[in-house]
Amino acid sequence: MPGARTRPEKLKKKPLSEKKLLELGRKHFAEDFPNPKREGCPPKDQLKLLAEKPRKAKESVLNHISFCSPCYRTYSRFLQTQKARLSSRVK
Amino acid sequence: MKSPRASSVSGTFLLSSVDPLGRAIDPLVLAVAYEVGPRAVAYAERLLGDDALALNLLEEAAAAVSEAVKRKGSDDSGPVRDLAAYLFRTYLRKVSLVRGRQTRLDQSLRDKAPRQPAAKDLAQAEISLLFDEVMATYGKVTRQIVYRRLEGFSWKEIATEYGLSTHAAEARYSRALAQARKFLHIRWPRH
Repeated sequence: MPGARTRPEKLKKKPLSEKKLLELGRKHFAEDFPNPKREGCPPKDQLKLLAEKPRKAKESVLNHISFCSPCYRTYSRFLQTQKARLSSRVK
Repeated sequence: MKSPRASSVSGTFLLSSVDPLGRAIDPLVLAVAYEVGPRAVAYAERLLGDDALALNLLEEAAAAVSEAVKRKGSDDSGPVRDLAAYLFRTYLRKVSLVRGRQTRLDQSLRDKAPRQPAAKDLAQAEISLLFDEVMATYGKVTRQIVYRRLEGFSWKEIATEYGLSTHAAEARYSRALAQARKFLHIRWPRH
């Protein structure tokens, strides 16, 4: 109503959107485990296999990417390639 | 206060062969603890803000894993396939528990404090813990679903890959996050 007083908006914390949650989760795996000496890293083809044929991949590779950011980033690139391939197939 | 065992300069550390609770650590498990330790402890230090506590928890995890390995050797259950991953998960669980306690303490302090200065950092830490808990607890398919979701895959794409319905794929993901949140006593992260 014109002239009516508006209540000041409460400074309330908003729940994170799923988008933000995923963004922070991705950042965590991609940045929080530097592993500069690349200790225990599997070969690239194992990461590629994990991205392209996940059911055939070794569980140890899946375990490894949960605490090695360089490998996670490589895996992420393979996933992005696969995603692009899937999208182009749909079109 | 810095632990006398920890050296932040060299990045190396010494572990005792007995944990703070007086339990012996198997030499093989101790060797694996030295292998996974540097990165695991650095990560825990960041979350807990206390290097001595991070090292104590690693020793406790190593002692617990030593007992489990011994137990598995004497009964019919199969041997531990990947000792490093097993130790890492045990350690992560311990860190999560302590972090959960700290979060509850922080919450009660926050309730009394007029404002919270680092809500953004807290949200990031909570989300990191949440995903680590999922990775430490869930099976191969659920973990892969989470990774694919993080990388922007649609439910349809995920469901097709694993031969699930979109609803089943989404349910696996939601259930994993909800249970991890419950375990860690984290409400839906806020910012």
